[in-house]
Amino acid sequence: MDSLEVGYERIVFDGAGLAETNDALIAKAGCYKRQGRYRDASATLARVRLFALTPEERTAVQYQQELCWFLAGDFKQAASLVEEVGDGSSDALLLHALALAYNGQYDESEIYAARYISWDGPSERLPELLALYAAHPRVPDAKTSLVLSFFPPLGHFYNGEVGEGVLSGGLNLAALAFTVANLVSGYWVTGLVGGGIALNYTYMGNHQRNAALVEKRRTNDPIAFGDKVRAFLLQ
Amino acid sequence: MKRLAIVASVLLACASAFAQTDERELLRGADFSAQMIKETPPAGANCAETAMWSLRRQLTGRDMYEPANYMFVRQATREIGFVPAVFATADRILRDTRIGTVRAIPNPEDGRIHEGPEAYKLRRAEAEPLPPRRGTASPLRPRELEGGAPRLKDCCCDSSDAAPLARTPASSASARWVSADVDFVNYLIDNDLKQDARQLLFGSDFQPSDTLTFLRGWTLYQLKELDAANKYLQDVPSASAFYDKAFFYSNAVCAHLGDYVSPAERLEAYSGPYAELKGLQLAGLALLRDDPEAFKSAAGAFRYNDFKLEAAEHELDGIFEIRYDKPQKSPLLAAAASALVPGLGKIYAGQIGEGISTFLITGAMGGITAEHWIKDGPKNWKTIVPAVITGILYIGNIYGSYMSVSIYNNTLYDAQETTVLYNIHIPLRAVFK
Repeated sequence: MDSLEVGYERIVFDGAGLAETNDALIAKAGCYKRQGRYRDASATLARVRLFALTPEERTAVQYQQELCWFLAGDFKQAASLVEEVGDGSSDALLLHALALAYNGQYDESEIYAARYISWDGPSERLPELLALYAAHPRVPDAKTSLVLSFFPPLGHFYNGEVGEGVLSGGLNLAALAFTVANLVSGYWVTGLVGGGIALNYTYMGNHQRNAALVEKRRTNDPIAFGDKVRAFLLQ
Repeated sequence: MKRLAIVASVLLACASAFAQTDERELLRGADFSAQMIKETPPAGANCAETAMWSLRRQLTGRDMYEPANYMFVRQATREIGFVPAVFATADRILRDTRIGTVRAIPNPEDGRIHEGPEAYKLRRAEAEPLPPRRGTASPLRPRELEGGAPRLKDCCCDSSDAAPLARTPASSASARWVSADVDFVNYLIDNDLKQDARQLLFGSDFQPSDTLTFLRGWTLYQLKELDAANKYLQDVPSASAFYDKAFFYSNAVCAHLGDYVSPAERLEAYSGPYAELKGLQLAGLALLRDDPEAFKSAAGAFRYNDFKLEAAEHELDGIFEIRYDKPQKSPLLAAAASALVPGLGKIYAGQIGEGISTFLITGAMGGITAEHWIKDGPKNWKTIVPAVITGILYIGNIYGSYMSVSIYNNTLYDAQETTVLYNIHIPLRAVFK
């Protein structure tokens, strides 16, 4: 006997009709999902011929696809399906709110989250939800960070890294002091060459570090905030 | 009826497929923390190295070399001794700049250059000769003739102790033959459903057969599980229709796994219809073993008129020419050039960026030392400190230039080995299409 997923794939291979093929693919995706292979499940659902399904079936398949992308950690793909899935059920609203929050689309996520907790009527938790979203992380602006990094340690402070900022500011100050002190004392080669090398490391390093910090915040902040939203909505 | 039963079971499965899992629980239990960027000091770093890691992030944002210079010192001291480690680290510092790494090829996974203390070890492993064939005159050295040559059972790709049935589950009376599923397996592999193919071939009850053995090996090969794939491919008997394909693929897989001896032995004994392909693989394996005589002998089979093999034959000829017909670069000459002008030896070794970087940094430190020498005298600490640093960098530059020829040769060999492995492997696709 074939395993279930191989058996379903054999139905597709044997040239079954559209409806049978779709059923087999959906069932195969279900097998993958139960095994925790969410990416494989999404990829299998992507092979379903949506045009052969009723609107309700299509929504159900796309909902499962969005769910599997989300569980696989591909929030961008999950968020891209929000429009297609629509808002016909509280489960869909919950999933949309989470997918959008983890994808850094906080305003859109807030709307779905509010609709989700108000699904059965006005909710007392709404103010709490609004307060949670009011404190959503600021999406760091790479240009602002770059401009501020010309004045160390302002770029670090902008990115919320005070300790690192103090260290970076201290290093830049020391390199500048070394350069100026040598130039004033008449050590031109040491001041220009040595100071130049030191400042190159500290000042340019400061720029690079700021770019890395922006990238880090853009990746980590939505996940950290999404965890909070998830804990709130699923409590 | 059978189709109806399948459809009914599918519909039942459809209805229950997603209902069986509590989606709220799945959402609640998901953990995405692994996707977050975490910055932690390198594994095993002590306090000083952790401090250096923190400092270094503020200086250049990231380390280009893996292991980073501050981790390299301790590793190098352990592997090549304290004094060479000091100069090797100095050489690394001279190279670890934007100019110095401009031509370096970083690892695609983390964007860093992976180079440990082993780069500062001089010699490559010696050529691995073939053991003597029965009934032929042996070109081997006395050590091998005394019994020290690698034997088949010592090789990683040996199949002599592995009976095919040992890896095949016992089949029941209801077991079916896999030959009816060959097209299905190919469909699964072609549609990137290799795990399904694996599940089918290893999870279903099939009668043991040559076809099953081949398909299992082929599927594992597609899944890049080379060690296991090789065992199955080698188990395909010579009477099988799949034998030639399995044979040549298993040789290529063996070479990828680092065994250059046993496939050469098997090729020597091969007398099938693919004589030119045999010559190509033997020639490639000879290059991998660094054995020019064996290459010349094997390359005699090259005809240069089969479009499937022609390009690979020319490629192997080119590598042979570069490796054995052109003079090798001299480490001593590189060291002497760097003693004369810091960085010149590296340029001679082909590392232009590293040479310029070395020249600029050593020159700058030399200039600072000279200025203090003139203004403060040679015994002033302001002179002594930069002088010591300059001295270490200067000797590190000479040592690094000497070693860079070795590094250059190793890099060249590595690139050539990759090309050889490619050329004894890729033509198989066209030949056995």
